[in-house]
Amino acid sequence: MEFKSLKKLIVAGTFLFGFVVSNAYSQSTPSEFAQLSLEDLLHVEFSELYPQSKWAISYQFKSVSYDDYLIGSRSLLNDELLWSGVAEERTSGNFPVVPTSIRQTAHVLSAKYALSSRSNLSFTLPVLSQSTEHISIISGYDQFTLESDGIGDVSLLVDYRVNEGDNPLRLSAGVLLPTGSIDKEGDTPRSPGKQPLPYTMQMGSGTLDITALIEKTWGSKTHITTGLKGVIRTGKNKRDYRLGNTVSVYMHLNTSMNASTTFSFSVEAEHSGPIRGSDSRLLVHSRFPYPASITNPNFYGGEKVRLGIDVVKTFSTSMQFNVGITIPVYQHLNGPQPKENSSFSLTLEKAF
Amino acid sequence: MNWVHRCITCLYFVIFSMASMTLNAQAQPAQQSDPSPSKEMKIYAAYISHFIQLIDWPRKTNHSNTIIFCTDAATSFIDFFQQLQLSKNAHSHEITISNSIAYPDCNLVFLTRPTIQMLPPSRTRIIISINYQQVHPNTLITFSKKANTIQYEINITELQKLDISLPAEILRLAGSIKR
Repeated sequence: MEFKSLKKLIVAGTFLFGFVVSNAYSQSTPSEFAQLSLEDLLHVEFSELYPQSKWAISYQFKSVSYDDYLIGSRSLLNDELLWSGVAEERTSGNFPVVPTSIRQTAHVLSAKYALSSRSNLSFTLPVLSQSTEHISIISGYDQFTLESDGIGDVSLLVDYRVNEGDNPLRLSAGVLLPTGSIDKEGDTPRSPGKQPLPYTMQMGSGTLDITALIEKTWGSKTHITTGLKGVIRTGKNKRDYRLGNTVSVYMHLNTSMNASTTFSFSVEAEHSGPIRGSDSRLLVHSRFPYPASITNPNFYGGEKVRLGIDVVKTFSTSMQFNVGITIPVYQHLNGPQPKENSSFSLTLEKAF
Repeated sequence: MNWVHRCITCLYFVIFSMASMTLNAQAQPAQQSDPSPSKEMKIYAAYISHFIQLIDWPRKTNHSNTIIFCTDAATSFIDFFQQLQLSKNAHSHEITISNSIAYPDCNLVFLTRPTIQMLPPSRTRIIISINYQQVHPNTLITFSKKANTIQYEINITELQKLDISLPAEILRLAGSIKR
């Protein structure tokens, strides 16, 4: 269902935007520039960051947190979700264990290689860490914190700019390799010692995932970029589940304050699906098999709309710094599900 | 766990190294850190070279055919511009370059940064600016970035104040003509 929607949108987008190919130039020396007519100059691309640099590396730090819960768009406090014991009826909507606060950070290292003036091959390695605070009614686990860290799913992407003159169109596609562990363990109240951690605390999807993006830009000094991107999961992992597909549309308004500083205001609407299948190790053998909401595969996914602001500072033609904040302004979640708070990112990129 | 911390330590090393390179790049004068001008500046140089050769400059009293080109750009730009002239086969005008934009005999002034410096009034001088927040009020030709290319626009009001006419080719290829 999600795949069909994504496919339709990509096809529609492709027809909408069309493919306009303009001439590419790569002059550098005085004699090469001396040969260009006035008319030729109107089409010469000035950016040197990607067309003339073969390599670029970047480091990104990302942080996001989750507190409290949503069922659809209705807020739910942690205490409302906690099953208080025999005095209260146990239902599928309350749990003996409740994660109260989730903190996720990512250190993402990327390397990009210019295959041509219009196409790049990029490799991304995320190193993830997560900390989840819990409350529970189980003796000895009234309040406890679980942590997990490790490398996430490595991505390989090919990026192609169809035209670079007026209103460029960008296409990107690639794979996410299942390099992130799905067997992280921690001391949970389920039993003494270490047990498998829930889906949110694993480092990867465990499946080979396909990612794609189509993006169009209009304008020059102040320009608008709109795009559609998605992640499609294939098959099931060795624990017999797969994470939900995601698709999002976004729009950025970029405006240059001067030659080296750009502000970007963004809005993004994302849809993600629930987990298909389940990791049987997370279940308990009772009428209510899910000890915490985050062990229920149906309580994943939903719709989110986020607003963001980024400041991009260019230090030279080969180095730029980006800092950004994103705030979710609308969330309709398959829940009860932890509610996303604002996120922060910082990126430093250097081209060689 | 330990190797994760080692990875994070390595990442911090990378970011601090890159930040250090950035600070070093900022601390050095532009001429030293960037011996070759950016491609953007090279495109400006090529445009200006065409403009100088195409414009119908008023005859000087001493019958000199030399155009005095003044700019506040870095030395690397001036060096590149001179090499560009040497690479051209034919010249209708000889060009002398000055790095003082206030020089009263300038025929063409190229401003690469916002300036509040008052330039002496002249009906035989053209000002060309890069499109920052504030361009010089007497700018005739303004360069602007459109997508990934450099375009230029012409201020007709300024043109009417000058004893200089622009050829049809320059007017035809302008991204816009404003009053």
